[in-house]
Amino acid sequence: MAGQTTPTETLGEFEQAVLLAIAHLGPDTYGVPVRAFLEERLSRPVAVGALYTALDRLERKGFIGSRMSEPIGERGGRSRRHVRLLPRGAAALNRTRATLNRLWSGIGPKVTAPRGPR
Amino acid sequence: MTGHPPRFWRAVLACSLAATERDAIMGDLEEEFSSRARADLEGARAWYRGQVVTSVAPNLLRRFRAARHTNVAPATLRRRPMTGWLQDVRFSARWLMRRPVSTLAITLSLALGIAMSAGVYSLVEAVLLRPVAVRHPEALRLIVEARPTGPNGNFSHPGFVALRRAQRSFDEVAAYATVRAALRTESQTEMVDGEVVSGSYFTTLQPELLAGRGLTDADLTESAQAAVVLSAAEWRRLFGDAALSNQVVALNGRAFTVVGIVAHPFRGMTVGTDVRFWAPVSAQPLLADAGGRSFLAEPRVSWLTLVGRLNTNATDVLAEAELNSLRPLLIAPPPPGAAPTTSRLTLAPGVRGDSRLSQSAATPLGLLLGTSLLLLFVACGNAAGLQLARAQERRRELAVRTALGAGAARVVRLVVIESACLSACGLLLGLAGAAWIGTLGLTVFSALGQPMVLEVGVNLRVLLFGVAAGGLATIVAAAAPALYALRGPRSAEALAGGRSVFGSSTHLGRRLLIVGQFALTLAMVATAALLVRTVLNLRAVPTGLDVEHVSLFAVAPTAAGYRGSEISTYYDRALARLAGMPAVAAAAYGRVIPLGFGGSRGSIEVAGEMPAATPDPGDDAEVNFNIVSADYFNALGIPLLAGRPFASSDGTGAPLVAVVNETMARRYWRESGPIGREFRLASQPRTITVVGVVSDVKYRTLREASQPSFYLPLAQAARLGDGVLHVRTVGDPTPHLGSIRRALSEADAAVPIRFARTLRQQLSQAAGAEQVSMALGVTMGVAALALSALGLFAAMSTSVSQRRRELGVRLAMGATPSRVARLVTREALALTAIGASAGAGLAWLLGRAIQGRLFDVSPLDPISLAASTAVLAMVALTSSWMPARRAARVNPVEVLRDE
Repeated sequence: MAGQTTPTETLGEFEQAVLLAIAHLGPDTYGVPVRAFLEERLSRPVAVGALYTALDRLERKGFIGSRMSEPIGERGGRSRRHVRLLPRGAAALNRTRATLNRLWSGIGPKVTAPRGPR
Repeated sequence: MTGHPPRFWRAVLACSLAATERDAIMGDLEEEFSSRARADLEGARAWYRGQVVTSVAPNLLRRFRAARHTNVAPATLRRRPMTGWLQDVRFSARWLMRRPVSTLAITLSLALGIAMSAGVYSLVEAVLLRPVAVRHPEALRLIVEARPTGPNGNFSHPGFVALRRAQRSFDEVAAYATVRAALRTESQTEMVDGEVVSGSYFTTLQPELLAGRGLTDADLTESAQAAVVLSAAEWRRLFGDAALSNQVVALNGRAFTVVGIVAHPFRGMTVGTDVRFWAPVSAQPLLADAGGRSFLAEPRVSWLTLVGRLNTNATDVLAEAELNSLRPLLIAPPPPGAAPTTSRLTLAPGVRGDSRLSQSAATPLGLLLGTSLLLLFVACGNAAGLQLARAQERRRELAVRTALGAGAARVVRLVVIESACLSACGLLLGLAGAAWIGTLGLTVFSALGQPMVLEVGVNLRVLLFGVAAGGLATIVAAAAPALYALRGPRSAEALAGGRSVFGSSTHLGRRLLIVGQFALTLAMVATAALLVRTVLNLRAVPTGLDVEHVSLFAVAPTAAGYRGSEISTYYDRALARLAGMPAVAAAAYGRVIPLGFGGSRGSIEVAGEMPAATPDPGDDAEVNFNIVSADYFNALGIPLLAGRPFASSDGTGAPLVAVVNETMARRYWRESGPIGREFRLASQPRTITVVGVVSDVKYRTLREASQPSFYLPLAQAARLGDGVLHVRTVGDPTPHLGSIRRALSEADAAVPIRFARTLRQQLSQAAGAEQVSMALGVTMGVAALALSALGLFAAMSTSVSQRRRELGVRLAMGATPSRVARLVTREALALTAIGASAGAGLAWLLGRAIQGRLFDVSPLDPISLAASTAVLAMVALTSSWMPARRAARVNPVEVLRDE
């Protein structure tokens, strides 16, 4: 069954963040804006190696698609890997959000631990 | 321009990425870098570096995973028809990466085998094969006198001078002798090796000079200022980076002007000796330990080695003929009355220097090289076995290749390339290890046996040897799978991917390899055990000495200019100083150290009595003697059995006295008792009276049987030289060594201490050669064990994977897991047992070969053999444990579903 996702499959935290970044940035985004977006929103440095590992995995799962651009001069003649969200990826995001919403429903604006002995 | 990312880190990044990813990721970083660099170049560079450092690990993981997921064979087929070496190499590399355990096992095996053999070879190369570092060393010839009793390489100085003047076959002839002298600087006095050389030495040998000039005939004249040439290393030690400008060093108390510096690595002609200075031969009376006697005009004292540089138009035959016609010049006629000697002068190649060390080291080194080659074979066996297992595993792929039209050559090429890839990895690792092992071997040799100074390391020759070893490994490892690939996989069964349950010929081949490996290993381990037992036996030999708490200080008053009666005054003064120390229980002088492989021997004549029949018919009439001071027996704990020890009354004027040992007493005065009896040394007229008897001690070696020996008192010794102070301390001597040294330098700081060691250390040095053999034998044995364990482990692992179906069926039919595990263990033990019994014969042969080095243990010692077999069985059990456990865990349902 490799390469297919079952409806119960959830996203890892970082994968979810990457998918959301791609969703934010729209079609034909690529590594540089995605990494910048993630660093900004996650408030921590993101290694390009880690980002591409996540992209790889997402693409294998069929959540995103990618294509290589023509070589670009300002990148030292190198191509960009453009990524876009695929329907399965969007579905996975929605599913995750729904799951989380279900889990959060009924909890007030701030979670507090009950007082008392452990 | 905004600058570029750090090149090094960019290269690191590029290496970590697969080609398919390189554009996207490197481009991203480049793009972001240039936008950051516009604001802050340094910051951008730091950022880039940080990105690379944190990304390398995920990149490699991703790449590795991708390689595992790719279906390699079809990809290779799709790209192009099966051509191209590079493609094969890449295919092999990927294939090897997918089997990390067996790849690692083969690489490590080969690395160990190559490291050991190349390491030993580097030692052999340094000691036996390396040419001396001079111009055209191949033209050098050593002059040797072939006597009926054996070769002699020493000649007198007048003989040399006459020969040099008369000969025509050589461009030049030189003479030299090694000396050891006290080199004094402001802060310390150190004994260093050097050579006294003729004026022709530097023109004959032509070593490279860093600065200044070599010695010439002018330096030998009476009026000349004393000149010396230093080695580059010694120059650096004494003067650092200073330029040569008439600096002065003191040798044995006399000032010598440094006139030249010889470039590294020339260390004189004698292999293994660290010659650090060259002084004119005229300095011999000062520098040689001969009590100040000059040999320069002595036609009958042979002490110089002669080396010549052959004329380009002379041949060895012609030169030898000329030498023999000049023989009367070189060799003085025998003294009147003595029988005339018959001998011929011959030439020996001098390209590798004077080979006295080589001769003594050749046998152990040869043995060592032989053993390390055996080890290499064991390693190759591992590689072959594992490769064979792989060939079997991939027979389907090979069958597909053959079916698609790959010729036999093509398939063999693939297998060979794969083996070559493995050998290349093993070679790289092995060479790194070889440098280490060569140095280690030299250290072991020097520490336990003969001190040697040599540069051991990986040079071109060692590299070539390593490549040859790697090539051998490639061939051996590729041969079996190549044969298999040619024969096996064409069958339809293989193509269909079917599995056979029963053992095939490959199975048998692999088993034979394991058996062979274990046979070799047992032989090596048993030999190591014999050597261990030899050393243990030697250590247990009673020496007759009270070994604890004694330390030895070899002092050289002659090197400080003491002559005649001054020497004995010096000893008295030094002993008095030592005796005054609270930590010293007893201090005594001895001319010869116990177990120093040397000593004085002399013929004696016993007044009025014939020697009793000697127990050993091979014994000669010579007895050992030593010159000792009064407290000697006390200091060494040698018990007095009868009579008295030496007393202060035994002085110069008193009658000569001696203390004899038990064996001597028994041999010469069995019934009547030795006390009060007289004997004399054959070389001296005065009779000596026996005043005491002490128990026997080991005199020269631990192996010797008790020998007749006697002691003469220091005060009555006719001629004194350097000697050894024996100090018994209260408690462990180690903390007192420093204060004893200080006391000795208070007696006279100019007297160098040749060495200081405890008697315990001296004893373990006495077993030195055996310990070298043991250390090397044990290393080899352990390495062989490790290799065999690895080989067995890998073989059993593959066997278990290949028999999964059979094992699954067994389990499904009701066999218990422990029974299945036993099946595997039993096979391993059976192979080991067969190997061990074959190895016993081999062990016996090896034991016979080293019989001369054994002590008190037979070459077929049952204890050693049993212990080695037990060790082997343990190793076999341990290395088959994991595969056996895996076998027990086979899930029958899974296995049968896979079918």
